[in-house]
Amino acid sequence: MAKSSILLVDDDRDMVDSFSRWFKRKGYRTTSTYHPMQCLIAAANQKFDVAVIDIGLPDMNGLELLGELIQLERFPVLVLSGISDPKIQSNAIELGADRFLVKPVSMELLERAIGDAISQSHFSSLPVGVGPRHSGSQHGGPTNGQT
Amino acid sequence: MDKLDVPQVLVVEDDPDICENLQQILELDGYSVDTAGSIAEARQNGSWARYFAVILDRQLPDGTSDELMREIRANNADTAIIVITGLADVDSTVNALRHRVGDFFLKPFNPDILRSSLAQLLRAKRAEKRASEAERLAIIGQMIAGIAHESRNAIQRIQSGIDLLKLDVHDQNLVSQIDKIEEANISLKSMLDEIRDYAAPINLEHREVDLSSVWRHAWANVNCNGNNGKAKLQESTNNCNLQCSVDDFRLEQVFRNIFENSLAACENAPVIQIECADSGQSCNGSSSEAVKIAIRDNGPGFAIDHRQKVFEPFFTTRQRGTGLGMSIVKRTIEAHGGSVAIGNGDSPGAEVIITMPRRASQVQ
Repeated sequence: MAKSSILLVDDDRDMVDSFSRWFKRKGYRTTSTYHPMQCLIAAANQKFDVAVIDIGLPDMNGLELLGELIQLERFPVLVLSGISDPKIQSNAIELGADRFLVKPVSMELLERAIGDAISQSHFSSLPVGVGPRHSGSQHGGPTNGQT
Repeated sequence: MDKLDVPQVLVVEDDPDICENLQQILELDGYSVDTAGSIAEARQNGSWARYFAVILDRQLPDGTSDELMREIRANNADTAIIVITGLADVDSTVNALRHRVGDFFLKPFNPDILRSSLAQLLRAKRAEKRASEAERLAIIGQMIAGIAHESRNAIQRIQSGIDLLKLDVHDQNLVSQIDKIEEANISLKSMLDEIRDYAAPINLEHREVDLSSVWRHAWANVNCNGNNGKAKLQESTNNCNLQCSVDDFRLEQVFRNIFENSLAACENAPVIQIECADSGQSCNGSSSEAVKIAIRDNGPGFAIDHRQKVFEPFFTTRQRGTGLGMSIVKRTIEAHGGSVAIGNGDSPGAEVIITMPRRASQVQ
């Protein structure tokens, strides 16, 4: 059974690339992006089970990107950031982030957080462009949908 | 030593009686006073920068004091200038203004007025220095907080690199080397976190909370693994009203830091006692009633010569740790308008006493 697909965005390329390599080794499918617009385009055109985003990104406030991704109502979004300000953390959660992790985290911890986010997510294996968020959602169970 | 600690004054005056009188009066006020009877003699005193103030007679045997004012300002803008003159014409007044003279006296002058003028200039200089020092520290604080924040990406890269290596490396020797790198990375992270917490400005967000819930939360979060879970927390609240308006997030860190110190110091079965009492005493000038919280442990306690240093940044007796934990405790408690002290050694282990006003107002 194929593991989940993960959308990654961080302007630190080395970090995204090592995340991607690690998750691929573990059998996940990953898409690496390094810019918020790149991330949004990928999010609009492909199906993912989860996104892991930084919120300190160039050109767009990370919280704006988070808001845009939440608006798409497609998959849970985890924030992984160097920002530990509790205010920004609670803003992110209020906007709809599933979890807020402060860097650095071990890959195992990130994997667990991703697994929890997917299994607790109410997003079902909706085809691209199908919403809205609160209709027909199924609780529980990881989504293993094929892109 | 700072030039404002024992401020030096140079009196340039050709009348030896005035010169001597001024010297005596000002030395009684705590200034260190040099004298000169002419422009040439004044120049022999070396650098102008060492003087907090220069008192100049306008008419000197080898010229007017305008020349010296120009020199002082050209070399060091910081020194205060006071002019005493027998004749205040428009030229000398305008020239004095141009050289940012601190005060201007007509002879005969009242020495008390000169003294109070000098004292006022000194107060202003000291305030200016404090402000620029505070500004400098704030900038350093922001810079350090920024570095600590930015370093998280680098530490994350190291961590994910380590995790990637672990997927492929199975040789036990190499694995143990990788573990050491990981351990160092975690230490670096903790150190930078503490430095950031210490350096960043404290903006308190007050909430009405029960203090016992704050320390219990901190206790639940403190890592007790090193003591095999044998550590105990005993509370004697003595029916004390523990409802306080505090920043519970910040205060939890205070308790966590104190608990962690105790757990690190107590080798076997650590027991930490918390005892509360109402405290009528005011904290840092705040008149609001306060609660006194004594936190004691059954460890070796603080050595007498360490008690004064406990709250100093980077003081530590532990092999690991930055020595910032107790500085953060002090800074946070004082930001709440409270105070923190080390017990006087009546109890066998370490004792930390926090006095926290119930209605704290943020102290900058």
